[in-house]
Amino acid sequence: MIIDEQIVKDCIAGKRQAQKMLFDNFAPLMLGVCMRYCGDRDEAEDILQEAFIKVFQNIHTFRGEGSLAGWIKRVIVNHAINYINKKNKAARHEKIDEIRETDIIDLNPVIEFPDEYNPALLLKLIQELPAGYRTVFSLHVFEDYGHKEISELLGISENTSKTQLFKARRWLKNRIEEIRKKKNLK
Amino acid sequence: MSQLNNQNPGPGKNLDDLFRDAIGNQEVTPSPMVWKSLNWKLLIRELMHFNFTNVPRLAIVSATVGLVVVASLTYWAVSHDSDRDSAPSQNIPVHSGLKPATVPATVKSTAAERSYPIKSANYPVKQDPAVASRPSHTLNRNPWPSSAPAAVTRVQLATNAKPASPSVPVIIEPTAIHPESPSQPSVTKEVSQANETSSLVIEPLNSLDFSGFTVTDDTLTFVRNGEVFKYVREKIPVPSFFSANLGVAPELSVYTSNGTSTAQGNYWLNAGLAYHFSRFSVRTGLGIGYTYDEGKYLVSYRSNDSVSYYRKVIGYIQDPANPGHLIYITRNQAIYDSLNHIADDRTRNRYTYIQVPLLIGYSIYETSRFRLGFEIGPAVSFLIGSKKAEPVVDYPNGRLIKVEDNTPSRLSTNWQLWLDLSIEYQFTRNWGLSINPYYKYFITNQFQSTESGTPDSQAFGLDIGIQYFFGRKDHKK
Repeated sequence: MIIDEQIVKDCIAGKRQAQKMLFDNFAPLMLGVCMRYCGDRDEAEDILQEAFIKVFQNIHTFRGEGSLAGWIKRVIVNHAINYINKKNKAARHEKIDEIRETDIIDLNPVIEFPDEYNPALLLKLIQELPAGYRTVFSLHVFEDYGHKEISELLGISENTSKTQLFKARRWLKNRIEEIRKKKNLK
Repeated sequence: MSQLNNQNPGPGKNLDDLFRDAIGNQEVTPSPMVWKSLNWKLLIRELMHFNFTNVPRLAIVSATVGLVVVASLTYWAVSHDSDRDSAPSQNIPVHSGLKPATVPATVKSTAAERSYPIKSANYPVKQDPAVASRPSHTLNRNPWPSSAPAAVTRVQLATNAKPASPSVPVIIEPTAIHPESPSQPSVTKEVSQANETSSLVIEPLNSLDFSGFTVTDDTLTFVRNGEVFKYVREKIPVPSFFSANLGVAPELSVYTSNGTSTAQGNYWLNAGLAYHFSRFSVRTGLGIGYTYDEGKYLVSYRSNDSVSYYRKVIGYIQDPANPGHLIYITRNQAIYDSLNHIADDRTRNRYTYIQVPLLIGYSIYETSRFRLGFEIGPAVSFLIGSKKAEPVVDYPNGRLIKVEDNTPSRLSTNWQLWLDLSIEYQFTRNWGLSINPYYKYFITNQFQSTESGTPDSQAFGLDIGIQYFFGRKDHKK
C-alpha cells in the first residue's frame, strides 16, 4: 500500500480510517522494530500501541523531508527507549567491568550463516539478550547509532556503551555456536 | 555504520551484518487486538482532548439555542403540570362588605375538576345528613344561574397563595352557640385564580346557616347553625433535607495575558453534598478535572546543511577543436557545514486538578418538581498532577542541542469565585436531574506571574448531573 500525502493529511485531521490504513501499512515493520528492544511480544505490542498514539498525535510535525517510515521508526525507537529507561533502569545499569577500547576492536566476529538460521531464531536471540545489552546492540546495529549518541540517549558513558556492545556480541556468538553444536552444524 | 565492524573476510558474515540483514527489516504481524485497543485509546484521547475552540461558532450557537428551547419546554411542561396538581389556596381574603354566606359541606369546583380545600380530606367538615343523603349528581350541579341577582358575591384568591399541604392538620373547635343567623338564600361564589375561573356551587340548604366568616393567615372561622367553627392551620415546619449530586462539566477556560486571550477545554467530574433549608442551601463537594494547555518549546539543534558548492573535476579530454587545450569535466559538489537552528515546537499538556467549592444557594422559583435558583461562593483548586508531552524532534541529520521549555508555569493552588444557575428537575421522590451553567473568576491565577504581567483567568462551564435527595418527604406541594 502506498501511503500518500492525502492519508497523512487525513491522519492529521484525525480521520480514523486513514489512521487505520497508516497503522496497517507500518505496524508489521514497526512491531519488528519494537521486538528488538523488548523481551517479549506482549511488551512490544504495548510499546507499538503507545508509540502509534504518539505518531498520530505528532504527525502534523512530519514535514515530508524524509521518508514517513523513517520518521515513524524514529518515534517508535524513541518511545521504546523511553519505555525501557523507565521500566528497566536497573537492567540497563548493570554492574559491568568496563574494558579498554583496544580490547574490543576485534570483537565483531565472523559467523558462518547457514540457511538454517532463520530470522525468527535471530530475533529470538536478540530478545533473550539482557536488556542493557539488547538496547545498545539494537541501537548500534539496526539504527546505526554511534557510541556517543547511544551514551547521550541512554545516559551512560561511551565506554559503557562499548562494553555493553562487546558483551552483547560475545553473548550472541556463544549462543549461535551452542545452537550450531546442537544441530551438528559446522 | 560502526567503526568497530570488521570486513567480512570469508564465506560467513560478521555478527552485525548477519543480524542486520536477517532481521533489519523483519515484519511481524501484530494481533488484531492491537488495533482495537489502539482505536479505543485514540477515541478516549480524542474525547479527553476535545477542544471547544475548534467547534464552529454556528454549532455553539445552535447548541445554546437548543438548550434554551429544551429548558423552556421543560419549564412550561413542569409549570403546566404543577398548575394541574396544585390546589387553590385556603387563604381566602373575604372582601369587605361581604354578606354572611352559606357554605354547605358539598362544595365542589366545576372548573378543571379542582377540589376546594374545604372539600379535601384535610378539612373534616361536618356534613348535613340531609345533604349527604342526596344523590351526588344533584350536589355537583349548579341549579342557580350565575346571573342570579343580588345573591352573588365574589371571593378573590390571594395571588401569593400557597398550595395546601396534605400533611396540614386542621383542628375544628365548636366553641359557642351564636344567635341564629338570618336565613339566606343559597349563594354562588366564583373563585378566580390567574386566568381561570372556578365556580363554587352552593346548594340551597336553608336549614344550614353560615355566617361570620373571618379569615386570618392561619385561622378560618365561621358560624354554622349557631356553632362557631374554627379551622386552625398548624405552622408548617421549614423543610430541610440533604442531597447528593454527581455530575460532569465540560468547561471553557479563558486566560488573557498581554491582551491575548487563549481558550482551552477542561473537563470535570464533580461530586457534592448539599444541605437545603427553606429556600436556602449550602453545598460543598469534590471535583476532579483535566485541563489542557499548549506546551511551548524552543528546540535548538545542529545539522549538516549544504551551504555552497564547488566544481569538482572528475576528468578531462582533449579539445578536438583546439589541440593542446584540455576540457575539464566537472561536477557540482555540495559543501556542508554544521549550522545551528532553533525550532518552535508546540505540544499539548494535560494537568489534573481537584477542586472544593463551598456554595450558598437560594431558590428563586419552585414547583412540585422544578426548581430554579442560583449559587455563589468560593472554590479552591489544587494541581495534583501534570503530564507534559515531550517535543518531537524531526530534523533529518540534525543533532539535538537543547530543549527550552517556555510553557507558563502553573500554581499549585488557586482560588475562584463561583457563580452558577441551578436548574433542577425532580423526576422521582429521591432522584432528580440538575443542569447548572456556571461561571468562575480566578481570584488567584492559575499561572505564575511573568515579567510581562499576571494573566487573567475565568471559566464558563455546564455541570450536568443527577441528584439524590435524602430525607425529602415528597415532592414539594
